[in-house]
Amino acid sequence: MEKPNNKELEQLRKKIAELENNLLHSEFIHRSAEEKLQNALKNISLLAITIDKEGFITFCNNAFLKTTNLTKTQVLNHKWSEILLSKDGEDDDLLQILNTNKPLKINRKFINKEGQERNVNFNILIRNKDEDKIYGSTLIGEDITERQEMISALRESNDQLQDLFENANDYIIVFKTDGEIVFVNKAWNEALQYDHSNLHHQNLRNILHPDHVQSTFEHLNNILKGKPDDKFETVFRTSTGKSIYVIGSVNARRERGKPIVFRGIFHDNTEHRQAEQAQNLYYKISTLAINSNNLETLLANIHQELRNMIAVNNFQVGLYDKEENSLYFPYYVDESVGPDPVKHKRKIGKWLTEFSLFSDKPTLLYEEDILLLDKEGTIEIKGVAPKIWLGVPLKLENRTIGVICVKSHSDRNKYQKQHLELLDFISGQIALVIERKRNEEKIVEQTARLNSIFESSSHLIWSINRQRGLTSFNKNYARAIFHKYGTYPEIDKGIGPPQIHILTNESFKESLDEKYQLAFNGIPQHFETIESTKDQKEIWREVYLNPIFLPDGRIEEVSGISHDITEKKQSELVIHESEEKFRNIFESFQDIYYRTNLHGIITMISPSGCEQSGYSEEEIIGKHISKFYEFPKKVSAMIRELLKTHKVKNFEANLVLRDGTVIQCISNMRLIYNTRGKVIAVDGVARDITYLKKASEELFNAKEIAEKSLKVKESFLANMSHEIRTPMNGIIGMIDLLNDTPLNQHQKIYVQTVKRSSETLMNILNDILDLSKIEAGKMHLKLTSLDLESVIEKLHALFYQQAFSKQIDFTYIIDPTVPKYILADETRLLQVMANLTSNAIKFTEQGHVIIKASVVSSKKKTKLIKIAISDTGIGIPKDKLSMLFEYFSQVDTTITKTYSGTGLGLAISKELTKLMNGQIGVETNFGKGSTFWFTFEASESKQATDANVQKPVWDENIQFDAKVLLVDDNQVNLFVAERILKKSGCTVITATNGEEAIKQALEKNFDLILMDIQMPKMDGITATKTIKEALKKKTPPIIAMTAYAMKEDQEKFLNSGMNDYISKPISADNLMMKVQEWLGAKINKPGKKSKVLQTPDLEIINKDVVYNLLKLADKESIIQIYGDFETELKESLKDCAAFYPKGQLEDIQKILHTLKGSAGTLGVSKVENKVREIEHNLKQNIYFEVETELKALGVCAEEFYKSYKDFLTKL
Amino acid sequence: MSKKILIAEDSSVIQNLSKKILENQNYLILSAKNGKEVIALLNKEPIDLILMDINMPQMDGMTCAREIRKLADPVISKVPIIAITGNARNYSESDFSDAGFNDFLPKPLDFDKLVELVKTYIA
Repeated sequence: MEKPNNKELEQLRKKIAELENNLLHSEFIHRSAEEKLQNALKNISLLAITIDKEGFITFCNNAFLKTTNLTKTQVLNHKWSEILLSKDGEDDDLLQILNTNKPLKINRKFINKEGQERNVNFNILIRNKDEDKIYGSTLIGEDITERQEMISALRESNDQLQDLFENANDYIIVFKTDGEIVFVNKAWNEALQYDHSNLHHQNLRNILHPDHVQSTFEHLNNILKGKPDDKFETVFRTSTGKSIYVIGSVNARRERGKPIVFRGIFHDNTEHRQAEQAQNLYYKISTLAINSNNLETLLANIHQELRNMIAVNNFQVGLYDKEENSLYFPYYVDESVGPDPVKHKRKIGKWLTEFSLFSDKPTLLYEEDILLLDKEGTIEIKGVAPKIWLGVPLKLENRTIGVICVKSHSDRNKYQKQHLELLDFISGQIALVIERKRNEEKIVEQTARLNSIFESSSHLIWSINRQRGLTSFNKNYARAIFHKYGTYPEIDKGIGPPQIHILTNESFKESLDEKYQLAFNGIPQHFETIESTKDQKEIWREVYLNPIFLPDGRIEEVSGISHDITEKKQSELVIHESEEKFRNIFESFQDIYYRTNLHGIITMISPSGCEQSGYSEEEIIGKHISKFYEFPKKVSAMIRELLKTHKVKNFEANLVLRDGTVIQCISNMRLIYNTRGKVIAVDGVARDITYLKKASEELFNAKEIAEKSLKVKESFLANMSHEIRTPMNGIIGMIDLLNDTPLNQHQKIYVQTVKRSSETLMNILNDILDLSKIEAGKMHLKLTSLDLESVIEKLHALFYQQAFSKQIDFTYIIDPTVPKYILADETRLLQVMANLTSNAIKFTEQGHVIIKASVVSSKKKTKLIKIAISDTGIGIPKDKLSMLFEYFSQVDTTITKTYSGTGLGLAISKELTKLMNGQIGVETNFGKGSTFWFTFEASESKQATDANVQKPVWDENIQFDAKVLLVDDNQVNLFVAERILKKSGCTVITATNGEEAIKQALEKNFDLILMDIQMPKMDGITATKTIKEALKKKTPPIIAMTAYAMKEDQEKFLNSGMNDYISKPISADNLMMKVQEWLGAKINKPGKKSKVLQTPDLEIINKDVVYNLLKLADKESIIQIYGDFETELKESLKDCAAFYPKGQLEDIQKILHTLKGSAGTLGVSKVENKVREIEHNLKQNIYFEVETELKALGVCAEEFYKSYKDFLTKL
Repeated sequence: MSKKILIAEDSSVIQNLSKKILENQNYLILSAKNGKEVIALLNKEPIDLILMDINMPQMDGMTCAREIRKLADPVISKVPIIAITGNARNYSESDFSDAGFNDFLPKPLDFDKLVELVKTYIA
C-alpha cells in the first residue's frame, strides 16, 4: 500500500474539513451530489465506500479494491459487514451510521488475500439522503494497520526505553542548570541511598562529594560554553556518607538556544577506584614493610594508611607467646580507649581477639555472630560487642604467631570481604617484617657468637691469602705479634708486598712456608712450633692450618689456629723428671714394692724386694703373690677384702724368705685405676717390721706398767682423800654439834680452836687434791656469770676480820672499765685471790693491803682482767723470786716456822691462772712490800646467774616436814647427819648398807634418800639402781653423800640415777642446803629471819607489781588483764590435768613455762612460785610429786580466783 | 604518726597487758601468736619494732628472729627485735645476738623496763 504523503493528506484533510463544514450546514447530500462525491472519491488514496440502508455496498473506490484486493463484483452489492468485519464481532455500527448525525469513527477489519488481518479506520461519514430519507452513507477511511503497528511498536519501544531508563545500571540524572535535580533513575536512587522524594529538588551540590563539587561544576560550565562532552569523573556521596566514584558524560538540553537541563549518564566506578586504591594500598604497605625495621612504626604507618583508605579507627595487632600463654600488643588502638596506640600485654583469655587468633583463618563477624559466640560461651564479651569485627591471624612458617584485628562499633557496613583480604595481605607483610627482624637478630647473634668464639678463645686465630697476606686475625694473634715485634699486624690490603710476621723461630720460617703451601694445596696441617721470646722463655704452640674451600672448590685462603702448649710441654718434662725420680725412689726403696695384676700375679717388684727375699727378679715376676707368704689363705682373704673395700691398710702377714726365714711384715695394698676409673692392677708395699714389732711390744709393756702406776697414784689420791675426808667428816660434824651444846668459855675456845685446826687440815687436803687434779689435767673451770665486785666483796668479808685484828687497812678498788658481769669460775677465782690476799695479810704487820681490779686488754667481749694485791709487808728478796711459785716452797724455811702454810698456795694459784688463760707474778721491794698480781680471761656477760631461786642459802630456822632415809656405813657420819636432819624437823630412818637401804626404801615412803657411796655388802650406786627399778616414778630424790670429790666421780653418780650429790665432809650448811633444794615443798615451819630466801608466805598478788602496772595502764584494763589471766590459768590447769595421766609431761612443762611468765608478770606470786617449783621438778626429772603439786597449784589458783577482783578494786 | 610495734607472744595475758601499756604510750600494737604469723605480718605492713617471746608454738622466737634477718627486703630484715623470755638463764647474751635479737627482757616482765627499752629503739 502506498502511504499517503503528507501533502496529499494535508489536502485531503482540507477537503474533508470543507466537506465537514458543508455537512454542518447541510448534513446530507442528495442523490445528485452522490455521483459527484463518488467521482471525487474514485481515485484518492483513501478508502471510500458507500453503503445503503440495508448495509449493502453500493460504491467503492479503487483504493479500496486495491487495498482489499477484491474485484468490484466481489464488493458491490455485498453486505459491508461481510467484507469489513466488526472488531468485536458485534455489528451494531450500521444503525449508528444511519441514525446519527454526528461524525463517527468506525474501526473495521478485513482479512486480505494472504490471510492477514488489516485494520481500517473510517472517520468520515457522509450520509446519503433522498427526500429526507437516509438511504445510505459514504465512509472514507484508511488502512491503519501499519500505522497501528508502528504506534504499538513505538509504544513498545517507548516502554522499553522507560524500562531501560529505570532499570539501567548506569546512573541517569537530569538536573537544572542551577543544580536542582529533576530526575534520577532507580539505580541512582538506590546507589545514593535516598528516598525518591528526598532526592527530587535536592541540589546536585548536596550529593556530590564536597571535594568534587568545584571540579564538577567547572566541567558543567565548560559544557555550557560548548566544549565537547568528554567523559569525566566525579565522586558522589551517599546519604550515609559513602563515596561513589562515577565516570560518564553530561549533555545539556537547550530550548531556543538556551540550556534548560543537563542530562547525565554515569556508571559506577567505585569498585574500580577501590581496587585501584587497594592496589595502591597494597603497594604502599609492601613498601612500608620493606623499608621498615621497626615493627611499631610499621604498624602505625599501616594504620595510617588504613585510616586514610577505609577509615579504620580500631586497629590492633597482638603477638602470641605460647610459652607464657599471653598476647603482647605492640600496637593497639581502640577508639573507646583513646586515639593513641597503647602497648600492652595480657594473659590469653576468651576475648574476640583470641577467637580470631585460634580460628586460624581470617574471620569476619557481625554483631549477631559475636553475640551468638558469647552465648555459646566460646568467647566472653567485655563491654559492648562491635557491629563488625575483622580478625586475621598472623602466620609465620605455618605457625600462628599473632593476630590483626579491625572493628567498628558504629557501622556494620563499614567493611566487606575484600577488606578481610586486605588484612590478610597486611598480616602477611607484618609476618614478613617480623621474620626479617628475627632473621636479622639471628644473624646478629650468630655473628656475635662467632665473634666471641673468635675473640674469646685462648687460641690465636688468623687467615692468610696466597700472597701470605693476613686476611683476618683475632686479638690473641695481634697480641702475640705485638709481643714479638712491637707492632700490631695489619690486614693485607693488596697494596705492595704483604707484611709477614711469623711466630716461630727464624729457622722454622722455610718449613712453615712449605706447610702453608701444602695447606693451599688442600692438605690440612698440624704441627708444633717453638718461639724463643726476648726474655729467654720458650713458647710452644700447637698449630693447625686448614684450607678454606670456597663453594667452587677453590682455595684462596688458609686459616690458622694455634694455642700455647708450653705448660703441657713443661708438664711433660716434669712428668719425665718425676718418672725419673720415681724410678730412683723405686730403686732405692727400703720397703718391698710390688705390683700384681687382678689375679694376684706379680708384675713388678722393687730391687729391695729381691734383696730382702733373696729371690731374683725372674723368680718373683709371674708368680702368684700368695706363694711368698707364710699363710697363703690369709693373703687370698686379704685380696678379696681389697677388691671389696679398694684399700687394705696395715695388714700384717709373714713373708717366707728364700732361705726359709720368716719375717713379720706389714702391708698396704690398694687398687690402681686407669684414667677411665677402671681397676687395672693392685700395688702394695710390704715392710719388714720384725724388729719394730719387738720394740713396740717392749714399749707396750712399759706403757702398761706406767699406766698401771699412774692409776695407782690416782686411786691412791682418791682413796686418800676419801680416807681422810671420812674421819674429817666426823670431826667437823661433831664440832658443829658440840658447839650447839651448852659450853663454858674455855670449852668454847677449845671447840673453836679444834674447828679452825680441822678447817686448816681440810684446806691442806683440798690443796693437795687440787694439785693432783691439776697434774692429772682433770681440773676444769666451771664458768658462771658473776658480779666481780660481789666476789671481791666476798673476799673482803672473808679477810676483813683478820686484817682488822692486825690493824691493817684492807680495801679494794675496782676500775670502772671492769665489766660488772663476767663469765668466770667463781670458786677458782676466789681461791687464787684468797691465796694472794691471805699471804699479803699474813706477811704484813702494819700498813695496808689493797686489792685492785682493772682491765689489761680486751678483745671483743673477752677481757683480760688483772687483780693486784699490794701489801706493805716484808717483801721478798730478789733471789728468792724465781722459786716463789714452785711447789712446797716458802721464801724462808726458817720463816716457815713463823708463817704457817703448805707452800702449795702460790703453786696452785699459778696453775689456776694458767687454766684461766692468765699469768701470775709479783713485784716486790724487799722490806717495803710486794704486789702480787694475776690476770685471767673472762668474757663480759649480761647478768649474774640468778642465784635467787636455785641456790637458796640455808636458813637454820626453817623446819621440814619430811621423812628422810639416811644411809651410811660410818656410824659417826650417820650420827652427825642424823642430828643435823632431826634438828631441822625431819624424821630420819637410818641404814648402814645398801641392802638395808633398799629394804627401808621399799617399805616406807620417803621424801628423800641420802646415800653414801662406799659401803660394805652393797654400794650406794647399786642400791640406788635397785630402788629406782622397784619404785620407778615414785622414787624419791636420792642424794649421794661422797668423799669422792673428783668431778668425773660426781658425774658417775648422776649417770647412775642419783639426783644430786654432797661432798663429804658434810657440814650442817651444805647438807641442809641440799635438803632444802630438794624438799622445798616440804617446808613446815618457815624461818622468821631469813635473809636471802624469798618470803615464804607469799602474797596472792604482789601489790608492788600491780601498782607499777597502774602507772602504765588504767585500772579497768588491768582488771580485764587479770581476768584474762584467770582464763589462761583455768585452761592451763585443765590441760595439765588432761596431760598428766597420759604421761605428756613435756607438754605440761611447756604450759607451766608460759604460765610462769604470765603469773610472774602480773605478780600473782603464789601461783608463780608453785608453777616454778613444778617446772623445776619436771626439769630435774622428778615426777613423783607432780600430781600432788598440780593439786596444790589448783588450790593457789582458787585463792587467786576468789580474791583478785576485790583486791584490785580496793587498790 | 604513731610507731607500730608487733607483739609476738602466745600468752594472751601478756599479749593484752603489753598491748594496753604500750598503747598508753601512744604506740600502735599488732599481735601475733607465733613466729609464722610474725613473718606473714612483716611482709604485709611496715613494723617499727618487734617484741618476741622465745617460747612460741609452730615457730619459736629464735628461729623467727633468724628468719627475719634472712629476709630479702633490707628494711624489713633490719627491724629491731627484742626477745622476751622466761628462760633467760638458759641462754647467754650471745645466743640472743647470734639469733639476731637487738636486746632481751626476762620474764616476769618489768613493764617500766619494757617501755624504757622500747623507747630507746623507737622514740
